[in-house]
Amino acid sequence: MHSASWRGRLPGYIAAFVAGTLFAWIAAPLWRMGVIAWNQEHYGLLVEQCDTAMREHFQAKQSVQQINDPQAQSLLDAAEIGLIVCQDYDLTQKRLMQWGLREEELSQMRLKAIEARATDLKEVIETHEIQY
Amino acid sequence: MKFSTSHFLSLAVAALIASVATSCTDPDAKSPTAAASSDKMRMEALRRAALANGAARAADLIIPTQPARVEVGRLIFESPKMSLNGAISCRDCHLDEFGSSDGLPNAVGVGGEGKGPERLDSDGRILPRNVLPFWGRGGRGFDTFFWDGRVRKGPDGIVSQFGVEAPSTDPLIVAAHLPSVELREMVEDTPRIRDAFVAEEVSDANNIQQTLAQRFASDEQIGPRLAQVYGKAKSAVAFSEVADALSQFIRHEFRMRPTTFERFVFEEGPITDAQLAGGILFYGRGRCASCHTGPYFTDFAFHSVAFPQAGFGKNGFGIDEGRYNATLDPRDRFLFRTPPLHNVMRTAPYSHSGSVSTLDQAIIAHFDPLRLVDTRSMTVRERSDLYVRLGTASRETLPSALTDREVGQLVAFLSMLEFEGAPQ
Repeated sequence: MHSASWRGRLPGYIAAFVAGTLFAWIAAPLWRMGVIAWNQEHYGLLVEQCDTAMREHFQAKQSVQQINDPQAQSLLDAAEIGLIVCQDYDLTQKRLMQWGLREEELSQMRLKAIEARATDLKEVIETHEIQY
Repeated sequence: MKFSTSHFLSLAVAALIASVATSCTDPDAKSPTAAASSDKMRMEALRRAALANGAARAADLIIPTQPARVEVGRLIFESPKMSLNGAISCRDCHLDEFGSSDGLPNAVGVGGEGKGPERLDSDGRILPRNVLPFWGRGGRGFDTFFWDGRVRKGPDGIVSQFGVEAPSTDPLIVAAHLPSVELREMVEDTPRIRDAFVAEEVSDANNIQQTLAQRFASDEQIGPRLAQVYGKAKSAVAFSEVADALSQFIRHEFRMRPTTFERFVFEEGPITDAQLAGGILFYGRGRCASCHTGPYFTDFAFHSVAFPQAGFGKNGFGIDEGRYNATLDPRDRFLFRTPPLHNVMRTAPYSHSGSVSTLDQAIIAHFDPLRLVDTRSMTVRERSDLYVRLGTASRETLPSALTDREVGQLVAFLSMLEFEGAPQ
């Protein structure tokens, strides 16, 4: 009796397994797309801010070596604290990885952030180019 | 109640949605462990930066005063007798409810009546600059006065329009000598006054001030006290005693007081997430401490920010060339003394001409000034003047581009500079 019942339910289990696998297979990319869409703006901003902070720190360090005055040192101090935004970037990136994003998706998000300016440039060209 | 599979699924979906929502809507969401260690590092960095930039306890900045002189100074501060031919007291433009200023973009001088915006409806003379608050004036190291620094203590003594005849070695006392002889501020500009006094000579100022001293000496309430605290006969009271008493009052009444930020730096006091983020911006990417440094959050030097210009301007037709008016050095055009930041939440509007009404706008003016003006509605002349101001401002240490959220965090940080127990 018990064995017959088990056999009777088996197709249902198999169907559920297949449906579950299919769902997981379809849902995983959808999930990642959702996470990307939710976080693109904030992550993109951090990419830009960290990049700027690193560049400013590099330049401030060079300035101190070249013109060692209190103002240059003050700018280096500010630039060092400014690098804290890169910790925000790192923490956000790790959180996104915890939510299932892989390096491929993260690099895609970084690329989008960088290309955000390219879109602006296209708009500038469209506005100002001579139309024949 | 039986816990069915559908219940379980509903709970799981709800938990998933909640966690996704929490994660995705809060850009600063961190795991608890990461948040704790990161915040600790940030708090330590903020304390170190504050100390490296000269943060000091209020108690260490206070210069002691004599209570009897302070009390006479209070009476003088509130007396309209300080105005030679009008009816205006120091108190009319330095009110507690406006953070020791007047709440107006441009001050309303002699002839003005009422408080704050009421003064605009009166027949008062409009002055070209925003009233400066008094917080910290006369404290230890606070030695540069007015928007253009026309009174300051240099390495060789007091530098002011008095030249070598400065009435005191205390820059606050020297500064206290000026408003009473400023046309339109406390002296009504009449033909008689112009004929009698406007030769811009120190002797003219002395004549006015000797008249004022005698007025105070003969005042029933002020005269006897003034004579007594300075050990003089009433007839011998000079304006130097009046200015000294006034300075004693200002030094005491507007003295530095502890703030939330002082508690945070020196006593490990509390700080909110927004204040912490703002503090890190202030000393970091905002580069605010390049100029707003030292115990008063000012370097007492002269800088340019391309604020919109409100009103007629010190140099007329909407122009105020700032420090240049005091030095006549072309390099000083459009430079103004870095304003101190204590109680800045209470001293709106902001800038030398009071052209921006909120602290957010004042911060934005430092890195995105064009956002605050509508250049299309400006005349060619106004735009031309703006280009000059942009030119001088662009040579300053500019902050990184900040988001509106970050500007809000900076404002939250600045709220930590409110005095505890200041006059309300």
